[in-house]
Amino acid sequence: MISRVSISRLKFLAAIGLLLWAVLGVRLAQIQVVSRDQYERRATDQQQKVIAILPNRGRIYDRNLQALALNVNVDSYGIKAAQVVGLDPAALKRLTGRIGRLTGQDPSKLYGRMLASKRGFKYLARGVNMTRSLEIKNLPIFEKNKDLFQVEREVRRAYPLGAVGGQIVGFANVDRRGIAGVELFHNELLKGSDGFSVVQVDGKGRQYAKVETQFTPALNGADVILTIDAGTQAVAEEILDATVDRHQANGGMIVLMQPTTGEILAMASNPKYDPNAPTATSMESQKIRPVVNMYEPGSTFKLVAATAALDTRAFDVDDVIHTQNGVIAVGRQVIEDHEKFVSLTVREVIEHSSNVGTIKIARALDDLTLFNYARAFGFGTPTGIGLPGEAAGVLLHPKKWSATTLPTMAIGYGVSVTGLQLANAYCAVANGGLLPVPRIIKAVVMADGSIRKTEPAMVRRVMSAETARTMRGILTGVVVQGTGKKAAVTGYQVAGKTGTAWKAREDGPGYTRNYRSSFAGMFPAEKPEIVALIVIDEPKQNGFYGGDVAAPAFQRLMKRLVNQPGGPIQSAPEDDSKAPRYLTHLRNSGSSNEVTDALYGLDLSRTVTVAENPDKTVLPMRDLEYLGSVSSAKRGIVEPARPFPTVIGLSLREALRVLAPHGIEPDIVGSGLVVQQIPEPGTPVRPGAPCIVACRPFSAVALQQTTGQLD
Amino acid sequence: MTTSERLDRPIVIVTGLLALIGILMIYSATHNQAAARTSQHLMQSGWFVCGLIAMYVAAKLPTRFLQAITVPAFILIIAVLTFTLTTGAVKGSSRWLRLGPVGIQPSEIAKIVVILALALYLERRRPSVHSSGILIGACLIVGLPVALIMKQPDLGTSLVFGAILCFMLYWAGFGILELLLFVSPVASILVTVISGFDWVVWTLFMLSLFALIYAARPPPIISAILLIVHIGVGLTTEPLWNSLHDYQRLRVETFLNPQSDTLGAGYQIIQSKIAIGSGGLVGRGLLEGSQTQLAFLPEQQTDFIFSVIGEELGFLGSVLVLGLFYILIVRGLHVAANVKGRYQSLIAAGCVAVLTFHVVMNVGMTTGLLPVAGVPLPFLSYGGSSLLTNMILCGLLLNVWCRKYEY
Repeated sequence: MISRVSISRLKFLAAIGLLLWAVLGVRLAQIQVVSRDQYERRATDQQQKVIAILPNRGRIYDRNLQALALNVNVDSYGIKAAQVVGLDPAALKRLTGRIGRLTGQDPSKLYGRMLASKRGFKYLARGVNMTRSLEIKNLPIFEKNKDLFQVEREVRRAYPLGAVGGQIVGFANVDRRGIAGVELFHNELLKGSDGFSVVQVDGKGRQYAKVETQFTPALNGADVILTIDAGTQAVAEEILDATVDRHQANGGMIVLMQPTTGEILAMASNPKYDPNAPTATSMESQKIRPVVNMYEPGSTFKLVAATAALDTRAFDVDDVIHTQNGVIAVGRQVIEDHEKFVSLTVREVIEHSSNVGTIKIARALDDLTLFNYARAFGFGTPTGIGLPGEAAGVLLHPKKWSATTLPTMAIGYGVSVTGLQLANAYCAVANGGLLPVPRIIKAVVMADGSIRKTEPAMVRRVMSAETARTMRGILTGVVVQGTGKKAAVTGYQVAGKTGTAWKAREDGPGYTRNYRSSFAGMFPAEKPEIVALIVIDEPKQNGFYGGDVAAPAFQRLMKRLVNQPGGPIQSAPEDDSKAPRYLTHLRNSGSSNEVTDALYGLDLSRTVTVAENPDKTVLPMRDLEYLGSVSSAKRGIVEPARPFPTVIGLSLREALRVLAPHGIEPDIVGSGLVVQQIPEPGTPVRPGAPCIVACRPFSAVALQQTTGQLD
Repeated sequence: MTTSERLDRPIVIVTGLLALIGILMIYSATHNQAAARTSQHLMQSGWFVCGLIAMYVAAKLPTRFLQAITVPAFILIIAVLTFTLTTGAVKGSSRWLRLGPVGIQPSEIAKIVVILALALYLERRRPSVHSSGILIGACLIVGLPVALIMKQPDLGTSLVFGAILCFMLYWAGFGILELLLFVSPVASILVTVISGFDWVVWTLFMLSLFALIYAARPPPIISAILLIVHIGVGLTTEPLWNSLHDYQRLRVETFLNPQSDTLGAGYQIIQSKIAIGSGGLVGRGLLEGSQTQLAFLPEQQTDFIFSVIGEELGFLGSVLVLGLFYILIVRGLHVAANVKGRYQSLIAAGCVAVLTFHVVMNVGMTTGLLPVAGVPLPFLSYGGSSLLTNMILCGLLLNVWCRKYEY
């Protein structure tokens, strides 16, 4: 077909072909040569994935290494999308009913979520603890419908002691960020830092370890050991709650400190607060009251005027003050004593908490002296305790004082303090005149195992040792023959000062007819091991004076602490025969879970099952899920079920020895003494069946046994 | 009537080289994939052997035999296409015919049959705008199988038939201006949709159409029909477009601009470009392309085999492959231009049309120049029917070259 036409057509086509090939060639050159780097970068980007490795958040312990905050494994139950389509509604309702009974959720809500899973993945129950999770997995109805569920294991923050020290410990949210308390203030220490590793990702998103792996391990958070003693804290909270109840009060607080070291042993706030359920109670209950709340101290502040008077030698303890039959004019106001005296010695002025006497003493001093002593005691300055929201209090400089400031401040009005400041001020008296630096952190254990301890430190000398001794003598008199008689503890010398203050109006100047009753005391009086401040807010029944409300609470508190082995008080009573020792009684009563649980306000079934992250536990925590499947695998073997022997109260080692002949290999939660068994003792179990024994540290159990005494 | 017994060497060598490179790249793309795919290079080798035999047989078939079987083969392929359409679907679309253990795509074989049929039809007919009967006949020969294939649905293969028709009409004597008039209605729709119903663009398009009509001088009736069609298109496309469902419009838009759909068609193009681009000048080396080995492009061994070449063999390898295709096509054109018989020449033109269209569409698609139309790369893409068809087409090229002196 060679003709002129076809030759011209051939040329035309060849030209088009050449053009097309040139376009393709240029395009290839553009992609592969010019923009090569850009495409190569995109290739590397999509082929690599950086995976964050989460650190373990540091744990929080009390001074005896009782865990206050730790990380636990929990299971989350999700319903896979559209799996419930075509299932019998009655069977689904039965299933949700059984699960709801175990998780405490409303079965009808669960059923609704089941149905909603037709439209996409839905969580049925989140954060189910290992015990409950095992119970769910052992439900025959769950076993039957296993394929519906997607069970994910997560790590959650848990507070094994619940409300005990709840405000101090605070809480961390699901993003592992501290929101309140020590969790917030020491978040940087606790949180650790993320590690990461680079993995190779394929087109389907599957991950492979890279050969030339970039890997930076996570740095775990530091463990924080508090100066708090959980046992003492529990006792203080119990007594605070009981006192608030007895007097129908609005709330209250207790501070317990070691005067020689400044260590805070307990700091109780009422209303109480459980960090395991941070949103269940009001924001008010989250407050660490002794640190955050400021209040007018009333008579407990007479300490300052008395100390100033004696330490400057302006007065001697036995100097007589004319108390004008209990009435004095301050500006246009008249201030009265509730006990009227014609005259009192300086000692008696404090013992009987005479306002007139104190004002007359203060008037004998100058403004600056009183102010300087108040400031030396630490008022008006934050203590730097290291807890969120610490208030400084209000202590005005004499330049801003009016004519009535000196007398009113002398009796504790026109000045604002925090409970911690006031307790610390009494520590100075107890500590021979040296004001300690209050501390809540005893030590920090870094991820590498190194320990940073905090050391006791003194802020300043507030008064001479002699003045301090004199003051302790006066304060002892308060308890022996003054306003604080109800604080007396048989067999011991106790010192302290009562306070009954009108509460200032919140809506303007002036005062309400509501009281704040307080007692600041030290125990024992001569060489105090402990300083306690008890403040009860608005008592409405059974008295309102500090001596009738707070002083008896102090007595009950000290009696309990005396009996706490390894507790904060070591001194032997002066007269052994009269001392309130309950240890013999305790030995007879044995241990009772109900008592200890009630004491801690704990649901044991919830709290004892917490287990640390596997990498951090001392005892290996076996995978419960795995155990469950073993049991179903063994179902074919017919072995007679025998009653689960009771091992509660035994040590873990003894318990395992008892269970071994029965073929029972329990899952172990915690360490120490066995406090709970799942299933209940006596329930028939087959050898190899999944079961749990839950343990508590010896110290914790022993502590519960001693504090279990209700007087 | 002399017959050269020797087969044309360049065609045989280039075909063989391309197929072997294909097998190598298929091995690279599948060797660490799921077990079902790891034997695909062996399958392809098997098809290659079958293809060699088929190519040889096609090269040796007498012209008269080819002519004799054309009509029965055409009827048979229409029947088979209808049959595949009515029987069950494999992989979501019914383009496969199961023959025992192997699946065959009848639409591939249909390319050969249509080329033979068109060559037979146009051997003694000269298409022009003045002979609309011939045009209608040619359109029917192509249109019948295309209608069945488009229903499968297989847009890419349907387009190939359009290319065959245009190319063979042109080769049979249809003028280039006449050809432009011939495809202008399709161009009209594309222009209106792409320009977003811009009246200025449409007016310019109509003006160039008038120029075309003036230059090509078709009979008045044809001119009138063309004008009515174009005005009709101009008036109805927009309301028609607006009456489409959103998903239908999205599908058209995605086809025209795949980058807009980064998870669907756009995903393939982006991944393909990344693979080709990261190959650089010399490539990452055989079995070393991370994009390929990590399977960022699913089913890369089929339509996107060129991106494997681009990544592992680099710019030089890609150009080498394109060069081999260029040799084959130029050689095909040479054959078409230099055989004596009009029938043989038309067959050669059809074969060249198929190969050229496939290469341009496929490489254009993998480099992001053209829409994703599901067109395999001849000889290289995994797939027995495609390899077999392309090798038979080369066999036909060899066949007519052997009979270059036949009338």
